[in-house]
Amino acid sequence: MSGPATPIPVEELRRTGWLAHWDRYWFGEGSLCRLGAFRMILMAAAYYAVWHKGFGVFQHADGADAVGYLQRVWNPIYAFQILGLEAPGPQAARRVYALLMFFIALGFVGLFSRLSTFVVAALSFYWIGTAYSFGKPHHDCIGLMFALAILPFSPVGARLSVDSLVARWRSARRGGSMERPVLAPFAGLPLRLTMVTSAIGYFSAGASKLVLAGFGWMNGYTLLGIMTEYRSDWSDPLSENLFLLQVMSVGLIGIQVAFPITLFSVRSRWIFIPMAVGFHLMAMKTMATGPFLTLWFTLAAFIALERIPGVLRRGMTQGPLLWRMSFGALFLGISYGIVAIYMQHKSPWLLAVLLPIVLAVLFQCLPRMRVELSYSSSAARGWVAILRALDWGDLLRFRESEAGGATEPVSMASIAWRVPLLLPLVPFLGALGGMGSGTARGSFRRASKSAG
Amino acid sequence: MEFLSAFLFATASFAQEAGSGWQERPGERLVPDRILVEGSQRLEIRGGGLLCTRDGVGKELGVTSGGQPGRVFDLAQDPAGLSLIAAENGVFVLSRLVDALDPLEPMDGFDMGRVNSVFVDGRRRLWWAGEGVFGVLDMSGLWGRRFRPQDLPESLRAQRTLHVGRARDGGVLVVASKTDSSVRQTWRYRPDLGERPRVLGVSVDGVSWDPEHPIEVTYPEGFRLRASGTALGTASFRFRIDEHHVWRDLELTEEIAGFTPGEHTLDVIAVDRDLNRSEPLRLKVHSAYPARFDQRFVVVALALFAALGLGGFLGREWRLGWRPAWWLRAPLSTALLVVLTAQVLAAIEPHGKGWPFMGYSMYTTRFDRGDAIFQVVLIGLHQNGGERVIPPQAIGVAIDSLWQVLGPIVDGGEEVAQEYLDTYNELHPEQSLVGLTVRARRHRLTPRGAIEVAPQILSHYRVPTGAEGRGER
Repeated sequence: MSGPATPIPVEELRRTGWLAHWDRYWFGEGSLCRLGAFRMILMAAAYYAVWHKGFGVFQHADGADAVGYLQRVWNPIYAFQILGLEAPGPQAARRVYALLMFFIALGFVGLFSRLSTFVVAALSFYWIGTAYSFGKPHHDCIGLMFALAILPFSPVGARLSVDSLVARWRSARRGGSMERPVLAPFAGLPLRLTMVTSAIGYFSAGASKLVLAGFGWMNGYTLLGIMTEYRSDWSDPLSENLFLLQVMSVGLIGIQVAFPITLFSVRSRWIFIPMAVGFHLMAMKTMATGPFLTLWFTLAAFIALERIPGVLRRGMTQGPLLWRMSFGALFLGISYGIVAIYMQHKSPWLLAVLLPIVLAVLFQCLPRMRVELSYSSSAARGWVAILRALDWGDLLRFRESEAGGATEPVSMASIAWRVPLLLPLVPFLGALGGMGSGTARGSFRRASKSAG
Repeated sequence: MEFLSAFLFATASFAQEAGSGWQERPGERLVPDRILVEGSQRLEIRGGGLLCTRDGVGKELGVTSGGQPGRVFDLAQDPAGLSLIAAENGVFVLSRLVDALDPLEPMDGFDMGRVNSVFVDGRRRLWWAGEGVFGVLDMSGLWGRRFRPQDLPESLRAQRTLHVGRARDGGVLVVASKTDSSVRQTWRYRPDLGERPRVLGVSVDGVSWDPEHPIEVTYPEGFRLRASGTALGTASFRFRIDEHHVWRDLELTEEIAGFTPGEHTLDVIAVDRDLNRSEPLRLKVHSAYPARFDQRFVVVALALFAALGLGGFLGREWRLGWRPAWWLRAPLSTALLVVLTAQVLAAIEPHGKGWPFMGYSMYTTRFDRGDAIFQVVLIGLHQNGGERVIPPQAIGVAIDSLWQVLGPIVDGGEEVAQEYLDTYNELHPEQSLVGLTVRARRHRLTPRGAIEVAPQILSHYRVPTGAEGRGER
């Protein structure tokens, strides 16, 4: 079940009136590349959310909640009450978790994209809802949940996916075109719902402060009190300057209340999105709110993701060496650095920042190289054909050699600019880092053992 | 025979009010604590002022309320590490970890009046006396009681100035005098002699209530609860909801409200004049959804809204000419309309469990200058006297709130604290602990930032030296 694969008919474009605007906003043409990249980011964020909440769900499902310390309360979320969903037992929890991991992987690579994203949406809702039914609901997964829910109703696997590769391969075998589609109706649907959801959330957060606490909320003491209560790394230096706190309070409310402007003005996103990222970063470092990584990743809906490779390629491969190095270090430093700060400087995250920066700068400094890949067998030719048909085939620029092989002109700079594209993998690194934590792993094992 | 003689001498020498715990002790003198030593800190009353030295170096102490404490009368040491200073301008609390005196602020606006002297016993009860009043304050919860005139010996009732201190043989020594210097009468009060308080019954909105039956309310409505019971010096009553660590005064609470929809517990205790508590009487409260959150209403309203929307959108598609490729717009438009409307409604009228449709009322409390901010931490105590903040989940739990773990420790007595210690020490043998303190770090908001003041110690437990598995609390 999906929207039409064909372009929008001319008569559709001629319609006027608010319903026509509604249709064009939600179901108009959108970039399939952006949608594909957004799908991968959402799958990564879903993985992080599911893994992050897994400990609590398993703890309760296993009845291993701290050897009797915790109040084992199943207080289901309202949706579960309506739907009659119950708490999972140990076996059910494991099955749901395994299924989620499997389908998130499928969704990430884009295999059976609609089915896999549909299953991820349904099971994520159950998994996260279960975590919130055993405890307190939080705001970090709201945007993620709505984005996941709408994803299967868009052409989610049309680009950057195994599905698209298979489809084009089949098309080629039938004598059709291998051309990659660029735009399609319904492609913007998940991104726009995520944007509107984010705008409602930020506006409501700001407006609630003004309505419930009044303008006095911005007196500086409120922020000082919050920072003191939820003390974190950067609380102390900031809390000594009341004027700065007042300025921050005004800025915070202003950004939150005015955030819906981003829905109407694309240019305003250059201000609001960095400010939103900065807001969450500051909230975490001054109020110990937690990383809100899922929310941070869903903000990708506001970004023209399909343009990033071009911007990166230009920035890191053109111009003087100093410019290229500066651009690479700045971009990588900002993008990965924020993630590392979110992750509280734990070693895997430092590595996640330092490694790409070092690689990019190193590659920029190295002389250009050419690597020749020769092949002659038909099997190798087949694989090269597949690689070239991939969405990422543009990045691989194989050229047929006269000798019947292929050469790939590889300059180190041309590799370096691709490093930032790995950013959606960050949540997976987080899970690996967390799993290495002896305390959490050992504690859970002990708690499970003690429960019997 | 000697024993009998001593007994007869005792009964003959000391006038006492049978069953009340009071015994006159003529000749016993009260020696005020003029010097307190806590670790490297030394507090001394000198010339009516307070002298503080830490590691032998004089330390200037500020006062968070502004001004000065005035003439200092008495000092007292809390076993949990706090120092109490009774002074002309009130009772102040200090810890060796902070540099400012902070006024002691009992809960519920409880007024201690002018306090002349203070003394903290082993159960962390602050006994205090002032101008014609004598009372006791629980240092963990900061709630207390004054003794009624009829709870005092006849001859003490008329006295203007009272002082308290530790009696040589235990108990509380109360000295009455017309002036601070001329001792007139000395009495020893031995607390905890009465029977344990009991809650006999409760009434809800004036109607006697059987605790077996849940109290039915509709959110956000509440009810008026009153209790009856027995306790030495008449019973006062406190309550808490869902095992919250704060016990609130029942008499001062006109209506207990704010039960979110669902099942809740309401515990009521009777308290005697020595702050001994009864077994809690547990009541069940069922809070029903208000009509707007009633599940049937919500489902029907959503269904009607969706049906209307779907009808409209399908009609639009029909008018445009039915194109199968675009039919999905109608149900999707309906879904979008419902979801966005629900998001906006939830933001305006939130439901605590409405995820993913939620309100955004977090961080909407406004703070002002002088407000106290509490930051509750669990402190592990090491054998060598050191301490460290430990995350409550260090025993291998995932939590949403610190109180999921701290609540049982604060409430559960030494058994629960010891159980936590056992679990922790098994998991972290390299950081073995011998005690636990639940400490509410407190900060006052000032233009110069948040100034840390003496914490509130909500619970303090230390395994006694040489003991295995049990300790004193």
